[in-house]
Amino acid sequence: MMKEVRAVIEKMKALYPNWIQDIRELPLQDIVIRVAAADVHEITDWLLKNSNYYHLSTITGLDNGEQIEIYYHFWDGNGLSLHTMLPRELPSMNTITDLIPGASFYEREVFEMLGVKFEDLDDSRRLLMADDWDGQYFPLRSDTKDSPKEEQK
Amino acid sequence: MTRFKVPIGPQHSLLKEPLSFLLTLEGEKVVESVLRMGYVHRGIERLSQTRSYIQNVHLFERVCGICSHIHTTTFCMGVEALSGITVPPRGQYLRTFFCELERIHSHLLWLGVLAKNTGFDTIFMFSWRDREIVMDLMEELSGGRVSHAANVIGGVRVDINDSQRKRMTQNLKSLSQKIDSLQGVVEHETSFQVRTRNVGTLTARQIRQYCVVGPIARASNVDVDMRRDAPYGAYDKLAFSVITRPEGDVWARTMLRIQEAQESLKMCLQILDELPPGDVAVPAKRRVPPGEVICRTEAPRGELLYYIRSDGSENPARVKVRTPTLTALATLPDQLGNVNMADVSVVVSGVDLCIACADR
Repeated sequence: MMKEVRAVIEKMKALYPNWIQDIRELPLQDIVIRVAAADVHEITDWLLKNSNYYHLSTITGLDNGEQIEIYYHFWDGNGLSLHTMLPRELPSMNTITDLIPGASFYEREVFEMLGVKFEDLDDSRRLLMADDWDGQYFPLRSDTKDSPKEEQK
Repeated sequence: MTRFKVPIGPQHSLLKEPLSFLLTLEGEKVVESVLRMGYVHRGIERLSQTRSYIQNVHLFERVCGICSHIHTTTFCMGVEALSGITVPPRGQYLRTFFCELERIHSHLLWLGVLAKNTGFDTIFMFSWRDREIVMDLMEELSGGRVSHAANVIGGVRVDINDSQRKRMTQNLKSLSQKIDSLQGVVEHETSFQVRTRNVGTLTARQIRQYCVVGPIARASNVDVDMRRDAPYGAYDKLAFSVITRPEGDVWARTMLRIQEAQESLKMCLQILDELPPGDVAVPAKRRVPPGEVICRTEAPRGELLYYIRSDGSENPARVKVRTPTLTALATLPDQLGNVNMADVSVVVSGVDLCIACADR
């Protein structure tokens, strides 16, 4: 099963050697490739046209304290994830909703939870946060102090 | 023509959980719908970072009030993969047994909700009555009707003895006949067909664009099922077929879910028949080695994804949950385009919404 993912990655490597910065394998047979944030749109476009990867499971955002990490989890019977890093100050990247309309909810969620701005997102209405949210407070940022544990201190 | 705006929700008798639609009507037709969620956003992902892995099993059980077991299954699978634990075969079988019981109960519950919203209260009464067989069974095994707390990291905490096995086999066989009769009604009753045929139709192309998963995708002829594509638990040892239908409307989803419930029943009977002897769980350490894992399972509503990252401490560094309902919600504006106001309830209940799941 993993052979097919490897084949896609090899093909990608041969055509665009600059895209892939690092490859790592996770337990439960998932492959994660490290890419630059600026390349994500192009790589997604290439995947849609040249492989069976049409299904974007979700976009995961996380703040490790130094950088914001974004994962794009693709699936075609095998898992392939794109992993990219963004700075914590004013993080922004291109939307992929023009390629995958289903990514809209995921991108809006990542914005509301972590403050990552997706350029040209067609629908930037509020999704999860309250109506009186100021747009400054991002719940999943590592320095956001509002969890019950921190309040007790 | 004058346009009217009709708000549905956050509190509305059509919806069992808070969600809001702002529908724009032109006469009787819906021309635009705006969706707003987040009314039951409980911040579970953030909360999980302040809890230990053992506490988190109980936390993730509360993501959903219908498919609670599959959430703990997925979380435990991920943590087990990170820790390098192998669950003993009996534990795997029992875990899968609960997954399938939950699927039957979820599909029957949904059938009742749909029937109620189409004005077919008889099916609602019958399907919820039949669902009690499964609920009783799960209660007997775990002590809980909805929150079973059956999973622990390393296996399950429940076991079945021989007399229970015999009785359960009997009960499940009687349920099979009851579901058969429900299927007969859905298949042949004209008034039900008039309400659900060609309503809320999604094409395979739309399904792919919106990355929709589970029964909705399969009812539009997109053949995806995590139980077959990426077997977990005991699914690689069970015989089952993945059902697809070409129509893509609410009626097809109804038929598909009833047939799926029948498949699940067969799997449950096979599990009861072939249950291997041995332990149900192995002990697990409190600390999980650093690493990350992406875990996918088939919840009653489709592919469920957990991304877990461990930094080597007792608490996870990040857990991301993507529930299948979120993908279905994205299609609602498309499905609601150009339907009659009277059909809105059928379309909305046809996608099997679980708002608490989607909001987390």
